[in-house]
Amino acid sequence: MTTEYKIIEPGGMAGFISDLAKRRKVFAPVVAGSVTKFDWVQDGQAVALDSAIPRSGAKQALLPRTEVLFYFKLGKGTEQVAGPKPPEPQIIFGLHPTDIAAVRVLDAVFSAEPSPDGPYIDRRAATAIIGMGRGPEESPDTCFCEMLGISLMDPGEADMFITRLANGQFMLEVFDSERREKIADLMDCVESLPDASAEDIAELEALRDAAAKRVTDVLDPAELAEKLDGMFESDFWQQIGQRCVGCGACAYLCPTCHCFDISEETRGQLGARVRNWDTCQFSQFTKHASGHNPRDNQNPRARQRIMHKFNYGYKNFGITFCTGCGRCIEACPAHGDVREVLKAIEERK
Amino acid sequence: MGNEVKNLNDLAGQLLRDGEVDVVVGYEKVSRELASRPVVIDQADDAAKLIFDRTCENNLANYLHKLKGKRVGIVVKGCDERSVVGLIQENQVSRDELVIIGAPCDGVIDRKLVHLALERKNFKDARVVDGELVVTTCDGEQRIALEEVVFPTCLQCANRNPRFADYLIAKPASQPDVASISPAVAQTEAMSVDERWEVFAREMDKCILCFACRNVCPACYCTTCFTECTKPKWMSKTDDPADAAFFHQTRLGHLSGRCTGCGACERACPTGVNLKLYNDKLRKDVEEIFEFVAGENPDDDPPMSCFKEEDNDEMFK
Repeated sequence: MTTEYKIIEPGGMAGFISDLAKRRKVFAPVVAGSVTKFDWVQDGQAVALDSAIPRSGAKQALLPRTEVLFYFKLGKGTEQVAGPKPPEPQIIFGLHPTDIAAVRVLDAVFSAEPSPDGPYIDRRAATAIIGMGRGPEESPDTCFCEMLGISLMDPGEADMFITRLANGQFMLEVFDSERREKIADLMDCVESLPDASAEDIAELEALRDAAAKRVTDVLDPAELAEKLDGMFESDFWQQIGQRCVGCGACAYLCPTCHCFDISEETRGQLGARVRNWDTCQFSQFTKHASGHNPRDNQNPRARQRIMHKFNYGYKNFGITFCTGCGRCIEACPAHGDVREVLKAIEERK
Repeated sequence: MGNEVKNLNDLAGQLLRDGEVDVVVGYEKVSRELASRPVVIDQADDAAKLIFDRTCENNLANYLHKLKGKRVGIVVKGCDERSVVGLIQENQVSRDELVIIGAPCDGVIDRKLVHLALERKNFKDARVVDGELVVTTCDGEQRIALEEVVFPTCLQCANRNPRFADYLIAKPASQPDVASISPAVAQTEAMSVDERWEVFAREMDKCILCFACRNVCPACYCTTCFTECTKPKWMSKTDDPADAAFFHQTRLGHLSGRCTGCGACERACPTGVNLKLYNDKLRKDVEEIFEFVAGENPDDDPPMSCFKEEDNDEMFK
């Protein structure tokens, strides 16, 4: 099966989304006060597609802020009474290539042997991704994904991909083989759409080519990792650590950050073991049971963030653990800017 | 001293060169449009980096905790200075270890409001000209009235001028007669219990427990926050809205008589939780019950840390 190319009229997008929502839960960008964010929608009218990088991304749909691992009952010896509910089939709709690339990072981390992460893998298998491309004029000024080698029109792992054409219509690509089997339940939403013309497809390919051509001045991940290797003991980290307040804004909004803390919540005799988002930026993150804390001030914590994303992640998995979405830059209350950090590192001899 | 107006860069350089301070905490430019960030300098040569303009929104008093034991020159707006006063009242910092560099301020700009006004278009060449913010977007030059993009907190500010500064870096700002408690407090007080709960629940729904609010707050300085205690575990950090509610209610309790209404928490929140409503309500209640305003005078005794026989005891009747 080759890729199918369909057209959605500008006024037909809301209806298309509502149709999808009848078949699976849909997680899509909506306007919420002064920001856009991803949220569960049933009505396609609620979806806002004009913001390329919604404030909180789609990570929540794959790695929920709180996830039950299992339920248990206390008594003479604790017994596990039930696993978590199996994940419902879902769609992440309108995910831009910057965020699709982030899914690749989560996939790599959570499927790594020797201990792949069951809950993540199950939820991921139940997820269809409908991506969306854009032109450079639609990028917020804090998005630097092209500097990290990501093209604004790269569908990556997406099962379907939407591109706005010059005449206002949307091109919908439905990709081939394995991906289409995974989304067989959604195909009747697509089948009724008119086929794209040869001109439409040519326009799409021109947009994709132009986007790929813009990915030129790319940061060399291997060079960056090597530079960082030599910086572990450097007082460079003081520059960031001195102003960083150690909150979780950057990590929680980051589409690739994935650290979690495990806790147990009980009510009387019943309980659940859950995992919650956590971040290496919190002061207690590395505190040992002995009371010793190897990262007991913000300097090594700031170092850890950069090292994990641009050194350890790259060395262990071959991909950079940052996709340049820029949410951390927007969200940081101390106005930290990872682009400035990368530039400073690049300029070091 | 006092109301003497000095150039910020010259002053900071001089203080460091003469050894009057070990460090100066101020603001520096960033490469991003319409933004600046805190910086700590310890070399006189770095004094040239310091700036002060309408992007300087951070409350630098927060950084005094990390600088304990050092003599600090600190750039403060009127609001930030109240936090410094609070820390002096609580013996966290000593007045004679500080050189207070006062920055009169007419209000700092909220980038989120700029984005809204520009319908989220990117902008550059931002500058303030004659009461307007002027920017260039893909549609050309655009002018926005300052009142539309200044932080709402600032529009109600009754503290435009620092009162205890050793030096000022500009002539005093004019101080309009404003109440520092938002009108939204009275509106919310007038609602029924159920309506007020709905408002609160809607705000708590937005909270992701990132603790940006707590970490930028100069009054929050416990080395182990109650949220971090495991023995006993006071609170869970799940997505149950009760957890976010518990965190904010408890933090508010801990801020009673200590929150100065600087607005740093609200500006820091990445998901737009309306914290100011509750902090303002708290300050209003403290003023009514204890006739006390946080951050007024270094010699004051905050109501939660002392007992006076004439304390209001209405709640016991």
